[in-house]
Amino acid sequence: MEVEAVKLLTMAFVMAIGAIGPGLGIAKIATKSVESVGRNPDAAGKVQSLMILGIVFTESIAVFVLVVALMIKFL
Amino acid sequence: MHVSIAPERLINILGFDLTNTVLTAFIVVALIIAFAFFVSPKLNFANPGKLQLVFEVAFGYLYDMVCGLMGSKIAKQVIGFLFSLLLFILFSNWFGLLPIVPSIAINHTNEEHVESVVATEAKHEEELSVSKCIETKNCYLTVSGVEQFEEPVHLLRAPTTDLSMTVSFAIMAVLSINLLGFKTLKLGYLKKFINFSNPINFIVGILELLSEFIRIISFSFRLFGNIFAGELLLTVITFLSFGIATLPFLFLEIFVGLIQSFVFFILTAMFMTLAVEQHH
Repeated sequence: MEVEAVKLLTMAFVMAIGAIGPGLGIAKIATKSVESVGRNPDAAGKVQSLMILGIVFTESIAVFVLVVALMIKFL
Repeated sequence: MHVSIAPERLINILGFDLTNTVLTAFIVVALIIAFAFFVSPKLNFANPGKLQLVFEVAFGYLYDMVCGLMGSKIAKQVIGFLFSLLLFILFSNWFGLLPIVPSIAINHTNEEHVESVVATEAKHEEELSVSKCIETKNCYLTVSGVEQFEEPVHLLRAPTTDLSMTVSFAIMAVLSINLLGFKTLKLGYLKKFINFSNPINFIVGILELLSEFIRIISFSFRLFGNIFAGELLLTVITFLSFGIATLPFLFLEIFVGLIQSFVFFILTAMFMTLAVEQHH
């Protein structure tokens, strides 16, 4: 197979497989935080800040995967 | 549709390449400074106007958050640096969404490629040959011979889509975290990294040293990946359909730009908190 075709396929697979982990992680974080707000509505502000922070850290893993995929195709 | 991770070179001044991201960064800095100059005479302590109130609310919220993290004594020293970093990253992210950014393009030929082709084709008389053309796909055949493609290069590009710029932000942030640690704890800051009391603590110290460098990569790639992916998404959507269809993605990009600059701010503040705490 040509290099260009392998590059395209690899980029697609890398991104598809790499988005599974952060997707599940963010779902877990959001579930737990919504549940805890439901149990204790007064703590909504604190829980929201912590949730945003947790989501950002997990999302950055997906961004690293995206950067690797872009590098495979364009570099 | 032409997209490249590396920023495109506009002109070459004194041996330095002026790329389109650097030009946009200059424009953003000029805008921020002009804004500061025009607004500061009108600042009023007793009777604040609307714009002043907006900035006071934002600054108050961020300052309270940083005070809550590291105490107000150290927060007073670092809030200037952190807030200006936040403003610069925020306006750099948002500048890439303006409609003038993808529309102004200048044509110039790829001069470096022509030179490299000339160097490798010493035997042929003409500069470009058809076989080289088929290999590199960089030119097309006309009646008068082979001609190079003229690649249109965007004049402006959001500064944070440049990996060099985000790496510089990350190095600045990590350097400022360590300098704050040295300033507050004097030489006791090194106890975080070099700790001979325990074999386990020694390994932990080495890992802490390693994680400083990993933080540089993590900061820079997070910011770069988010903003570059957004710009790529907008380019692809515009290429596939018409202009107004990018409206929901523009809202997403405004949100992402705001969140990423805020995340840079709060992560730097949190690592500063970790750097200045006294170890027991």
